[in-house]
Amino acid sequence: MNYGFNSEELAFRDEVREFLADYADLDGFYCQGHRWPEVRSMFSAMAQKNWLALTWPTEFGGLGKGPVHEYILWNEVAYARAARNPLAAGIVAKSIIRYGTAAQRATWLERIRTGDIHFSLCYSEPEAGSDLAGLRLKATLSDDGTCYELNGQKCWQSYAQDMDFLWVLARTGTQDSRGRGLSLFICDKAANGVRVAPLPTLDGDQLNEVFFDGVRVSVEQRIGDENGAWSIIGEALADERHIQFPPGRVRRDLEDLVAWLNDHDLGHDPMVRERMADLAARVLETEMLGRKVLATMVAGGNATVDAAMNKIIHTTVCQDIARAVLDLGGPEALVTGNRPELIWRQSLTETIGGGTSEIMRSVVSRQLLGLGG
Amino acid sequence: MTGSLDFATSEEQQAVAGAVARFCETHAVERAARDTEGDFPLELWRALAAMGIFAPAAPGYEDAGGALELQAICATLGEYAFPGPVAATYAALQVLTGVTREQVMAGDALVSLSGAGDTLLPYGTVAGVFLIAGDDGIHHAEPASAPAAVRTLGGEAWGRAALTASGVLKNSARGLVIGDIARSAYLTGIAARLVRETSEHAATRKQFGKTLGEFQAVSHPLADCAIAVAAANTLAHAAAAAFDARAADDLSPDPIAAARRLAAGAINSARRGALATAYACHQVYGGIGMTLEGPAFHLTRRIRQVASEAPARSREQSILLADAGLGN
Amino acid sequence: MDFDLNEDQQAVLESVERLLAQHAGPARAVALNRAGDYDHDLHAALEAAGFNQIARDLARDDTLAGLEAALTVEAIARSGGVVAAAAQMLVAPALCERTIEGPVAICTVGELTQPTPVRFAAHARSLLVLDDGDAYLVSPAPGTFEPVRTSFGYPMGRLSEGASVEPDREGQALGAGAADTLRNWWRLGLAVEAVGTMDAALGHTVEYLRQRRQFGRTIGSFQAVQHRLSLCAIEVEASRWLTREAAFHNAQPEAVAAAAAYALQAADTLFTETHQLSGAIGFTCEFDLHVWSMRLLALRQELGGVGAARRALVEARWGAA
Repeated sequence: MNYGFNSEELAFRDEVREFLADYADLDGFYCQGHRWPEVRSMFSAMAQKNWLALTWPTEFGGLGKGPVHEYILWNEVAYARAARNPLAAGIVAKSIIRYGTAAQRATWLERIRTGDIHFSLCYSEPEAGSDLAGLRLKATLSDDGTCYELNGQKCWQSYAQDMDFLWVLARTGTQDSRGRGLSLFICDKAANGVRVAPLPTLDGDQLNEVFFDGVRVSVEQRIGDENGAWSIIGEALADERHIQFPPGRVRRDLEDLVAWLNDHDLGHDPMVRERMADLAARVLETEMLGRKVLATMVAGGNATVDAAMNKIIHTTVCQDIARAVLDLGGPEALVTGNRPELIWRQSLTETIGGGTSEIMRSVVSRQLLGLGG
Repeated sequence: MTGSLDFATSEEQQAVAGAVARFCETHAVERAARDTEGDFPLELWRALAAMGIFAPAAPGYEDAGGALELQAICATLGEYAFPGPVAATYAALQVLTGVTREQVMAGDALVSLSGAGDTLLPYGTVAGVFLIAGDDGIHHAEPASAPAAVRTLGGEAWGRAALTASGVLKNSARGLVIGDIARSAYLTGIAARLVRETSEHAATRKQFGKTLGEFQAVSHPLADCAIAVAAANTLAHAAAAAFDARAADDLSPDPIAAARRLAAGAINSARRGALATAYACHQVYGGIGMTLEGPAFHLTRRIRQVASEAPARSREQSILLADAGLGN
Repeated sequence: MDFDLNEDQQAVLESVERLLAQHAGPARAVALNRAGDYDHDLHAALEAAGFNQIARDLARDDTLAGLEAALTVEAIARSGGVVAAAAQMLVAPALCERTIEGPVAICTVGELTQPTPVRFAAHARSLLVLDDGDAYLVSPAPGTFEPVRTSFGYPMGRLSEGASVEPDREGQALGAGAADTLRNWWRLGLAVEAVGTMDAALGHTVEYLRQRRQFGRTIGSFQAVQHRLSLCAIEVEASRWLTREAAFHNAQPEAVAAAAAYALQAADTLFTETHQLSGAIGFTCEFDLHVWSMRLLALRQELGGVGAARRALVEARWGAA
């Protein structure tokens, strides 16, 4: 029975902290859209330590570490508010390692490992958010079988404005084939017919719409079988459960709120204290549930339900900390760029992105409780 | 290098939990748990104690297991809504010595643990040992007069009397931590059973041509209950593991300090989760949940009762706030 | 007990809504907020149509002018109008018989001594200041307040460094009891604005959820969504009638405190639920929900918010604690 980390893992954590000391002011976890050049350069520095390939097998240039190291790395990065974990080294690279051909591995992995290229996830569409299996972006194989033509629209893509490549989920089967008719493609963002349009968001950052108008993608850039994407994206998602909602983020949010309350001498009010004690307990909840998700993955188990539970606890306490920030902050909390305002704004999308709270509750009610709904 | 994280229930935990569950099945614990009028079931309590279940984590009983076994036992007792001062007994066994300790361990003396200044004493008319959970630790106490019988709304036989406290007992810090772990495990146990049974009910009962569980208005609140129970259970588990000093040193170099903050989180989480579960499950059961002999009442009244017991919320709040760094 | 609007009230409401359809709306609010501007055109249109003086009898007579003004302010909030309607139409006439030149902003004296963002202050020709037991009127010179960057849906200003405000000569006339009057009408105004704003935020969300389909059906057909929208609707309606009752009773302190405590708490629920149920589109600027939702949070920050309203309710009902 062990809730902590062993000495080798702790040494790694210390090394990560030392690395992050140089990025204390980066603030890329909240505002990556504004800080991309700096975030990108931090990823390149991480690549020097081969941390982008921390968990890749050594035969593909990785360090061959397990999920514990990966958790430690991205949890510390979140606590330092430096960045969110990059898709390229995670979902994209792991899927290529698992399902790519030798040629595809040779083409992509090294460039990802060195931090040379970055990816944006293109899954959601205007009519397919929670219900991904209903997506419509069409990929049509050319008569000579050498390339696909992509036509359609993606919506709500994070960071697409800054990324180099797109990881595109597209329909290769009929519309009613649902999840069985989808394929995955790597598409150069600079390819003819790709257009990225910003969707400014309330948090001062942006999401994007990505339009595909007759975009030609070589068959070499289809990862996995045609119509075989559903299980690939499912496995990729499962790979990331322990680093998707790192508790370091909410621990830091709580610390910032506490510092703000102490600075403004607001720690005496019994109502404030009761509220803060509950928030502190809930941060402990997500810290331990986060480790439980990790432990389940280390043991090779299915963390779907644990991760769904953790997502609810993590994102609701995150938003309740933010709500307390606003409630206790007075009009000053409304000023753009002030710390309270920033904490509050950056919590907004957490209960939507990465699977809405409603979808998470349905996962728990179906898979754990045996109920419908 | 071995894996450094383990949240699975150990074989030892499963064994003691299984033994307690068998005891509860064979000793008509359900009847005692539903009784709202009779005297405290002293014989049942003694029989439970005779299994040796109060030894884990007690000083000098290292062979009997640690806080993790205690957590498994308390969660199982919670599943059966076992009547009596479960958490108070475990807390008391950390601080008591000599004959009194042996009497408590054997179930011959019942522990009444109240808050500083309280005159309403849990199990006051049948208790043999009175303790007070104060801000500075656990105190021994004597009632000024024989406690007068008081029946709580939850149907338990408590007593009323003023107490005179003596000094703080040795090992108080451990006692309070163990009390938090035991009480959060117990509350989590009841709530887990309530969620399980209510979900079974929702999966079978039909209204409007489908099962209740197919309505999101039913299934989503039950999912929230399950999530709250899981969070509290994980924290109680983590606190117990830390207490047993089996946690590595990233949590805290001092196992009791590490256990203390996790246990404070656990009792906060368990109380919040169990109370929310009680309300949500009553709502799903509808009318049948309101009856004394129905499926929920004997569980939810026990949640209410245990959630209200000493130590009061202010204790865990001050631990959590000090840990979070919020000044006074 | 009569909850129907009478003919006069109905006519007032219809006429202001006609005006707002022409001069206000979310697109206009977005453009103005982006620039941090005040809607001087809407203000002028309301002035020309007499709405800014709708409650001019308030300080003199026992009239229903308070309710008519409240209905008007509620409608302006619903339209996302970027004007200081509550201060102009509800608060100013309650304090002073003569017309106070708009735009009117309101703040506490503490927000001047410790310069704090104040709604509409950077554009205000008149500023009502609440001191502990006193209230006064000032006419800030241009530049007294500097604009503050905010995304919470209203232009805001903060006292410029080195600037100060002096009570204007007639400001002394606010007189005895003015502080309580100001506090009550200000709080009532917040509740009224919250009602109109919540109403629009919920309406916008419901309209979207009726259209958007996932899993082969509209999102609005999922029970987990429907029931939560129902609870929102209940909170909006309860806020509306508590608030109208308080306006009907000319800002009687207990009624005002109850209305504000309820409505400002509901505002938090409405923010959370309308955004959660709208999903990703709700966080984009192209979806108009933010025009109203962000304002709900700003309204909660004024005059001590829910906490102060609750304490006021306790004090009004049971005496000082």
